[in-house]
Amino acid sequence: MLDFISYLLNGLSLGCIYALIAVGYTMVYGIIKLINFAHGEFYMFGAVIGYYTLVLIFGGSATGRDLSFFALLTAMLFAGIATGILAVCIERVVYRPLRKAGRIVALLAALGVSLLMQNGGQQTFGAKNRPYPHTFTSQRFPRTHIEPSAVIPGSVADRDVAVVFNIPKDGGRLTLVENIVQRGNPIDAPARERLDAIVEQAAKDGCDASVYSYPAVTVTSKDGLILCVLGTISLLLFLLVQHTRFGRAMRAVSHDFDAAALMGIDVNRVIAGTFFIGAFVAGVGGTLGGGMYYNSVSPLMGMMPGLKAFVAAVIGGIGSIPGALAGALMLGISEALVSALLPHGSLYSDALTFSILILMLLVRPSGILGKPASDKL
Amino acid sequence: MHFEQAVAFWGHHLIMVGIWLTLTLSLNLINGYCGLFSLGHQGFWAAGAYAAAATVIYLPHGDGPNWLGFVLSFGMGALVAALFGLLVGLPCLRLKGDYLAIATLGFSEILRNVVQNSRPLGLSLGLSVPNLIRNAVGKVPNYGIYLVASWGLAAVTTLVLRNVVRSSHGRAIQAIRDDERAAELLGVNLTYYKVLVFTAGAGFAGLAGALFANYNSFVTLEDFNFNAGVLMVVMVVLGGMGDLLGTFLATITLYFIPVLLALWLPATRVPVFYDPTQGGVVYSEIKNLWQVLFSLLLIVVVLVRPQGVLKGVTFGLKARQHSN
Repeated sequence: MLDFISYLLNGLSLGCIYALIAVGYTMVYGIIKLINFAHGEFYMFGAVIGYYTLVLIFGGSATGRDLSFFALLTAMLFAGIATGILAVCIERVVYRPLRKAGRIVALLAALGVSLLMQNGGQQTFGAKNRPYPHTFTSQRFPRTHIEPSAVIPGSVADRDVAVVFNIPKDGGRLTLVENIVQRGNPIDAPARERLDAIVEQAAKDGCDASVYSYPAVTVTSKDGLILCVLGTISLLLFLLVQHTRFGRAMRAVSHDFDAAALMGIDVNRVIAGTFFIGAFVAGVGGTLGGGMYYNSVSPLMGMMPGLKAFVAAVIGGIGSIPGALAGALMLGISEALVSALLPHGSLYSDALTFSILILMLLVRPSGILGKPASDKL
Repeated sequence: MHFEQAVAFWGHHLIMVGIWLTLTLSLNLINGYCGLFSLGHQGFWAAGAYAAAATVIYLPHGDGPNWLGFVLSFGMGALVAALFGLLVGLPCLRLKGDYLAIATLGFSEILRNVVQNSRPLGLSLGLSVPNLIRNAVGKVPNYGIYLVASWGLAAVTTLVLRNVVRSSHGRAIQAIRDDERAAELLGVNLTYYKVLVFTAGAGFAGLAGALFANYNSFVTLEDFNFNAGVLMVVMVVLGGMGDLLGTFLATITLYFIPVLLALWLPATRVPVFYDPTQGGVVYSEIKNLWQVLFSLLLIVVVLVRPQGVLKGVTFGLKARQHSN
């Protein structure tokens, strides 16, 4: 049961990453009825920009010292802004001339943009996966500080025990977490000796080492950060869409394009703004999800998450922002549950996602929170 | 280039272009003539290839040439792919446009994921396919036989397509593309024709897959990835949807450009990027830039001539019967 909750929490983080991409998909579709296939590549672009920010400005590396949260936040912001600007340019050059050309043609153009970004990335950034600069060490919470002497050999551990210590590195510090005992395992003499040795060595090197014990269900700081960012972005989006002039214009254009234009709304500006916001969120997601969480960046990293985020948007009802959030979280959690419940379940996550998509398209194409679309003659 | 090398090189590419022609022509039936925009044709291709490979591998066969097994593998390839077409066609009846595209892509991704985890199908490592009609002496593929087979298949596909399109069935199929509701009101059985189009298109792709598996002696999922599917769609679209001659020319052109570039372009490296993390200026070989150019070309063509480059161009060959 407790493992089950841990899996749920994992699924939630995965869902948050999908949500950060799905929001842009759904906003763009809601406003110009375009499946922006290149949206997954915006996620990739964000991760790349975040990578360069962390490496070139903050001097980070995959094995180096902990950068600060400030560095990560800056990278996310830069990634978001750069991706947003790129998306606005792409909209202006490629999608705007095709607005009246039919949905299949626009879909093809989006495929072209997606291919261009993937291939261009492979030629410039390189096709290989690169490890992401180290920003901070993920630690588990809640935790209780205990004395090393409290770890008594000969009993069975009822909580996980780990040592957390900081070592000076490259003018900063690097936090390391060393697991000593896992819950349910017997505490043996070697474990105790290892604990003492680590604490002793840390004291000799001038590091501060602390021993912590953890309850059965914990949240890592990475999961927590992703949840916080998604929460903040959702709240801001809600305020933007429901309570600002721009949001009202967006809803109007999404509701009826031509009527909105006749009412004096600058449709082009609204669409460009929508692209910027959607790509901003995807770019932040790239740095956060691809980079910080999965710790790798490559030109092809956007494809699968992009497709899955699209599925999430369809599940939630494409065009609806709360729907995209709900769909993405559901998708993330169901992937985690299948991994947890079925043997080798994690290998089938792609098949699961697309089966859900096809079922959803057949049973309720308008999604769980979307409005059923009537076919106009 | 020595004579034998030249035969191997051009033989290989001529066989492959025949396979690609079969693929794009059959995709044209689905995408072009019936207007069911499918992004999952690589899945049907893979289904045919894997079915043929499994037939060849798991059926008992002796050491000598085994023509029966060879022909049987084609039958299995077509059958399995057609069944997949049926499987995809039925649920996709209610979908159209971009939703249909995504659903077909979803189907091919499911297939890929299942093959990836299936031990009898070689996981993601691929399957080695015994060469059933090899010469008694060497292991060199019989270029002559495969050349005839691949271009024969392409010719049969062309003929079938041409005849179907000109028949009453073809008019029904094109009516569905032009206006689904009007076609239905005029008595066209939408279910029947949509499923038929998917099944037939998939069947031909399956034949192409069987040929590929037998000729290549090896199948992996890499051969049937999403980019291959996109390339097929692009060939069909650039040639003009629902235009056989256009598809023909677009397929041959787009297949041979990268081949010829790789052959003729010098291995000059040009600076493409500045990246301090890679030690300064990044160089890339010119021929590797084709992929980038290809995607740019796709965008430009869609912007400038969304109906396809070759649509409606007759090259003075024949008078057009129907002008769209």
